[in-house]
Amino acid sequence: MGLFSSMDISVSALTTQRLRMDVITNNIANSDTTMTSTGEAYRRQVVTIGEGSTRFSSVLNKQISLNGVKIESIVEDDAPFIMVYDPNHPHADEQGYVAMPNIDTLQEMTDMMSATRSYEANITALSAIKSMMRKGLEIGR
Amino acid sequence: MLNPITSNNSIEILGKALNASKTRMEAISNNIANIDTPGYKSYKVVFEEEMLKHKGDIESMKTTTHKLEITSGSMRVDGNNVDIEMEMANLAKNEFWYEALVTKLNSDFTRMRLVIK
Repeated sequence: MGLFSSMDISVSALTTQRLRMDVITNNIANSDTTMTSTGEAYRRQVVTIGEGSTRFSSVLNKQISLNGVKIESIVEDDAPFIMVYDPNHPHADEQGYVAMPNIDTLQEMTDMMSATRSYEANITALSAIKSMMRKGLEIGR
Repeated sequence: MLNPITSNNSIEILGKALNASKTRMEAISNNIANIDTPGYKSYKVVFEEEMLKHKGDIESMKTTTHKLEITSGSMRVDGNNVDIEMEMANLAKNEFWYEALVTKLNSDFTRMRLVIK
């Protein structure tokens, strides 16, 4: 407990931001994928982030419990595909339009910067916790 | 007459502060972890204000404990009220505070050891 749970909290954030980063880079990598196994173009994926699950022991003790953060789900963005006129494309429909993935690379880059910034902030927190734990070992030495 | 070795005011009060600092670290790391979580409200530890209320009264200072509280209100669209700059500053302050407390605690123990010898 105590400082060890502080470490768990920071680590949960690192895992969350890394997974978010994976989803973002997957979107960017697939920004030109016109056909997937579903028969449609690639759909943008987004993560929903929420607070971590409460431990039962803290509910039992009626304490406020600090649970870190987790990815609640990875969902597909419902925004429509971008239709591009290209009749010679192998995936063009009857009118000659190709459905391109609904990914705005600029948006993805902004999300990537946000994820990186969060990751770095949590690394700093982790370093501070380690310093405190190391210093705590010196009590009474 | 209070035995200065077994019931030392300084050591007891430092112990309270160390507990507060440890809980504050949990609160700060939870806030930093949740800077992107929609609807999240930041936590804080109330300790200095509690101690100030008992200014001059050592006995009630020894029984004061810190409190973990949640804040309210938000300026952001997603309902999150974590101020990352504030949290990073608090992180540094808290780390320094913890180390200062440990240093003081150790010097009290050293002094006690000298007396015992």
